[in-house]
Order: sequence, then C-alpha cells, then structure tokens
Amino acid sequence: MSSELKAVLEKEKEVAKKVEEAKRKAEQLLQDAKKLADKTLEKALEGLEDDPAIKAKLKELEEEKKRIRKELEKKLEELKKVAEKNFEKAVEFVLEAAGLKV
Amino acid sequence: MSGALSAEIERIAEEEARRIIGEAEQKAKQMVEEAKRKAEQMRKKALERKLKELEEEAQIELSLEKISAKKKLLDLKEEYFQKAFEEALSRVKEMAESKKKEKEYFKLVLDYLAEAFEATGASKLVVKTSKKAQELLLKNKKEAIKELEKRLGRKVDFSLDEDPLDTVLGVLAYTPDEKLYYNSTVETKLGKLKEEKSNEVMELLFPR
Repeated sequence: MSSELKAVLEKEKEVAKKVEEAKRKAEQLLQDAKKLADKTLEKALEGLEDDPAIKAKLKELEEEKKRIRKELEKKLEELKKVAEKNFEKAVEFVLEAAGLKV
Repeated sequence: MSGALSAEIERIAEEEARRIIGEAEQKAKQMVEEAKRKAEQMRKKALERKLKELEEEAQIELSLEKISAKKKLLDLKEEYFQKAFEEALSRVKEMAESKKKEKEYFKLVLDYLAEAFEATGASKLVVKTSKKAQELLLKNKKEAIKELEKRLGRKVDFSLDEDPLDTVLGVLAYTPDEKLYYNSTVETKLGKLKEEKSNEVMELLFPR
C-alpha cells in the first residue's frame, strides 16, 4: 500500500470519527430538547391557582358572599324592627283568639 | 494528489457533520416550540375548565348562602311568632300570680268551667284545676255557681279535686261517675292556636 493511500484512509477514519461525534452531539441535542419539552408540558399546569383569572373569580365569589351576608343583616334588622313594632298587636290578637282578654 | 483528496474528504465530512448538527438543532427547536405550544394549549384548557368548575362551585356556594340567609329570616320570624304566644301565656301567669288581677283571673277560670259544663252537658262536675284557681273557687264557690248558672241558664254544681292541675289556667273536669270528662288548659289552647292562627299572627307581626 502506498503511503498516499494510507494517508487517505487515515483521513477517512479521522473524518468518520468527526461525523460520529456530530451524530452523538445531535443525539444529545435531541435528548436535551425532549427533556425540556417534557418539563415544559409538566409545568404547564403548575400554579394554576395563582392565575389572575382564577384569583379574580375567587375574589368575585367572596365579594358576592359578603354582599349577600350584608344584605341579610340589613333585612334581619329591618325585620326585627317591624316585629318589635307589631309585637303588642300580635300578643293582643293571641289573647283575644284564646279567649284570654278580660 | 493525496493532499487535495484529504482536504476534499475533510470538507465533505465537515459539511456532513454541520448538516447533522443543523438538522438536530432544527428538530430540537421544533420539539421545544411544539411542547411550548401544547403546554400553552393545555394551560388554557385547564384554566377554562378550572374557571368553569369555580363558576359551578360558586353558584352552589351562593345558593347555599342564599338558602342560609332565607333560613335565618324564617328563624327570626318563627322566634317572634313563638314569643307572641309565650308573652300571651306569661300575661295569664302574671294575672294568676297578681292579687290585683285576681278578679280577671277568676273570670277566666269561670270561662273554662262554663266550657266544661257546656261540653259535657253535666249538671255536676268534679274539677281539677290549678292551685290558684282551686283557692279562688273554694273561696268564691257560691258566686261561681251563680255566675255559671247565669251563663248556662241551668242548675249546675261542682266539687274540687284535691290534687292541683299543673297549668297556668285550665280545668280537667269529670262527672262523679267519671264517664264524661273535659280537659282544657290555656297551654293546649295556645298550642292549638299556633296551628290554626299562624297566618294571622305572622301577618300581624310582619305585614306584607
């Protein structure tokens, strides 16, 4: 074998290694990308409860509850006043209906 | 010759390596982009689902809150309704315990006695009644019989059962042969009225 051919074959081996190296790098690159993609998907649903839309909805619900409770308190107060005002009439009616009015 | 060939081989190999890396980079980029797009879609859908769930839960919670509020309003109405009856009974009790209102209480006792004679049609009854009514009837028997006869338009008589009846006002009256009896107390009357006149009392307390 001539030294020239030897040199060419040697070069071929050398470049084949380079191509293999490139393939390994490419493979690694793809594996890293896959890991990143999986992690991205995994994290997609994380912290959903901190989403502003969710927070806004929860706040809206709390406020509506507060409004209902406040409205109830107001109604209860009004109702108490009405009942106190009419209480004597009701007692008189009961006494009359039970034949207890003398 | 060999130098040129080696250089060519090197060039081709490097080109191939670049192509391999370039394609991998491109594919990796696409992979990550696709994952990001999917993640975004997933998050969007999950958010929509979560918001829908929250809305449904909110509707249930608000309904429960409204039901609870309604119940409190009804409880308050019921409280005053019961109080009106308790107050009526308390006034009768006060009457029974007050010397000043003795006459009024005695008149009510006679009302119950008259009812007993009317209901049984008897001319003589044994009367079991409250301790206070016992005292009054014993003390004023003649007056009581006179008043009863006036009201009933016939001759009547009664004797007293020694055991007092546990009531604020009322009688358990029975014929001496115990074949007929009449039982009525203010407590049972008020209890019955609670059912019969609930609408009227509520309307008086809380007019619409």
